[in-house]
Amino acid sequence: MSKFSLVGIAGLALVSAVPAIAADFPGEMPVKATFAQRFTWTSCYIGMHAGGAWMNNTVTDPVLLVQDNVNLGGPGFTTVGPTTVGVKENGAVVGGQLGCDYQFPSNVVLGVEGAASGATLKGSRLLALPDSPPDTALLTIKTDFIPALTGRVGYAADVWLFYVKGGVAWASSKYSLTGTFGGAGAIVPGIPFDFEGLSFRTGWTAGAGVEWAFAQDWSARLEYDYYDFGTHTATMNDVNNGSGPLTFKTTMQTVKLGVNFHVWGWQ
Amino acid sequence: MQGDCGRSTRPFGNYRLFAAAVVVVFLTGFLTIGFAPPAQALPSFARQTGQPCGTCHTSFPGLTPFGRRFKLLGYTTGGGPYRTTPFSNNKGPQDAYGELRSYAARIDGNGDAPTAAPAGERGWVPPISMMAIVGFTHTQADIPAPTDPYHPNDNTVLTPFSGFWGGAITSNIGAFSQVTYNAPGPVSSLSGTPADQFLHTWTWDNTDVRFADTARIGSLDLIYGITANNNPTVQDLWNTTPAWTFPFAASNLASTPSAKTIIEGAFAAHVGGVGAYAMINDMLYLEATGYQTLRFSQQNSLGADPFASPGLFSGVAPYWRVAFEPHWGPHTFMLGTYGMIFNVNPWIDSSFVLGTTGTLPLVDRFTDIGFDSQYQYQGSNYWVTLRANYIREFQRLDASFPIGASANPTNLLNTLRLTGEVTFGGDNRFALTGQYFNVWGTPDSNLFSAGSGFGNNSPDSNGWMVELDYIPFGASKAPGWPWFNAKIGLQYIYYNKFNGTTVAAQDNNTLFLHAWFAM
Repeated sequence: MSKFSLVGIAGLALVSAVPAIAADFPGEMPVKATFAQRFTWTSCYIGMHAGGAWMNNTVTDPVLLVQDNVNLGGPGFTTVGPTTVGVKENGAVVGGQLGCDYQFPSNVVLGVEGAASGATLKGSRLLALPDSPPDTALLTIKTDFIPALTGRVGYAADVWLFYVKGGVAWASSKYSLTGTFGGAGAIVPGIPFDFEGLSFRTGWTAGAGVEWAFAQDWSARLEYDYYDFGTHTATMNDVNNGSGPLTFKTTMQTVKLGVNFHVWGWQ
Repeated sequence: MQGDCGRSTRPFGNYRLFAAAVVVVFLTGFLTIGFAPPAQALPSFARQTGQPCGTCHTSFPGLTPFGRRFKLLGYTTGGGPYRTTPFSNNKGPQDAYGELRSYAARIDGNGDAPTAAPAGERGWVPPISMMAIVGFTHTQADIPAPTDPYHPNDNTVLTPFSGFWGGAITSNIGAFSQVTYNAPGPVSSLSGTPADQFLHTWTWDNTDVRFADTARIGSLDLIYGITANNNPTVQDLWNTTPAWTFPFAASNLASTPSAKTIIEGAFAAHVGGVGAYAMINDMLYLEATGYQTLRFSQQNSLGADPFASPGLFSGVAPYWRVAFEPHWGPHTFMLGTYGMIFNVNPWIDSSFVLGTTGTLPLVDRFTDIGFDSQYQYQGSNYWVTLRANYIREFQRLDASFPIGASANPTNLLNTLRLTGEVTFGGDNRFALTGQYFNVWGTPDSNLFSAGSGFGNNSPDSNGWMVELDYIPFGASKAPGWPWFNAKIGLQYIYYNKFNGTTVAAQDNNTLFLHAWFAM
């Protein structure tokens, strides 16, 4: 960082000083352009990131999945109308990224990046089963892997880069709906259920951040990203009671701090 | 036996295969243009050694003599453009390093030796790497429903994805340590028992931390060291033993034979072991290591499903290895033996229905003895490698037999793998590998029952596999050196017999087209 700054400042000083001293020196005075070489973001990089994530799920219809199951309540046993519930997940994300940037003379920077994050996102919600009081069902969602391919466009101010990004993202999630169904006391003992589902979803992401080249080859960045994984219907399978659908509408937000090592350029 | 009756089969070629091929080609082209990946396997090793891919690997992660000695020396050999360790530049086993670098110069017959900056001129960069495999899988029969989150067949999946520490810590200590994401199987693969809660997608993976040094005792040249690792045979130098044997990449959606000897990964990532090794006169390799299982909670915390292993060890499990590797001119030959004795207390209830993580008081004893051999020939612009590995397992089931888990008090199980590999082109740009595999053993109506997916109460499986690999950035002067690497592989597995029967064995035949990226 200091090297770049000093070079930049020295170069600026040199350029500023030229008009004042030009008349005193012959034209071939070796004022070397290389001496005032500017810092550039043109490079490829590999790095790591860590941060927090918050995911919102709107789930339709977990109550019906249980109460309408032929081995539990059965068709016609269910409450009229769909039940939609919200499940919030939160946790940490840790991962890696690699990408390449190109800085135009106008200081506009264009780049592409691939990233993958491991996640500890988890959320759950306890649901009442209206046709079988006081029974409940526990709906749990875990998300553990979030890769993304994005492009970014930014503006470079020497060793600072301000950027926005967008692209395609994926999320791997596991769903479970567990409990015991007693048919409001009519079934003794109650029938345990454990519906399990998996998804690997595709969505879009958009975000913004700032990156700072703090040393030779190294930069750090702070970034916010929004993800929308749309609506997805997963098959929830219970080995003993059969399967049924659950629909999930999912969005996510992340804040990540990252560090990158720049492979080429800056040299 | 995966084959359920009535499952439909699909013709080999269809639009998903084409789409996967397009994706692979696109990604390859993308990397060629955008990233220009070079020739190294684990890029952090390449940064450290300054060597191209073909110096250490035939078809990665298969090792050349140089690669084996790099591992033998504890992953500490330097020579790359960056400082080798963050600590002081003590010389370490410099004589051995010097010989290694001399060897590398000799075998780099392609004239593509990278013009790295003088060793260690630039600062230290943490030896961290990442790896991802994107693979398209076609199985002859569809996977059982429900298949979420996959299609019934012809799936393209990103798995595994790994992060590594690979390289020197000090001049004498180095490590290969891996954390991996494995995509889950289809919903139908869940057992529906409470034990499913211990399934993980993120896990600690192969880990091998080493101390290595050199000595001279009389007329004996000695490279010696200590290994601490989590998978018996992960520390081995040859790609004949289970941890690093072919196939190096496999689909997560293909069925594989259920019967395996214990040393073939049953306790991988479930154990910790410490051992000592020595290479005498660059020819005779000796090693002894002791392993103990981690506690249930420790395994679970590290992402290893404890119930995926047979139980917990009773005492320390000894592992031994002897290998004789003479080499002359371009020829390298190895003849060796290895083995391990496992005294295992089986789980009381691996379904976790009873809510216990306890083990039975009696012990099943598995004695695995392996014999292996390898021949490598280095041609002017190619390598030929032949590998053979035979494992015989003696099972004394003092715990499983009384409770009816096995029908016999003793059993035998055998594994044979015969592999041939040819790599050619600049820095081993192309590789063609074929393997015959055979698993056979004592029929047991309880261990190998129809309910467990076996036919004829037999563990037998056999077949062939073949793989064609293209390493597009094989040239060591690739612009991106030493930061990226890639391999495109087309693999096909054919079964004559699968889990005891030839009936529907071919339903498990698998085509796996994959792109392997290392950064």
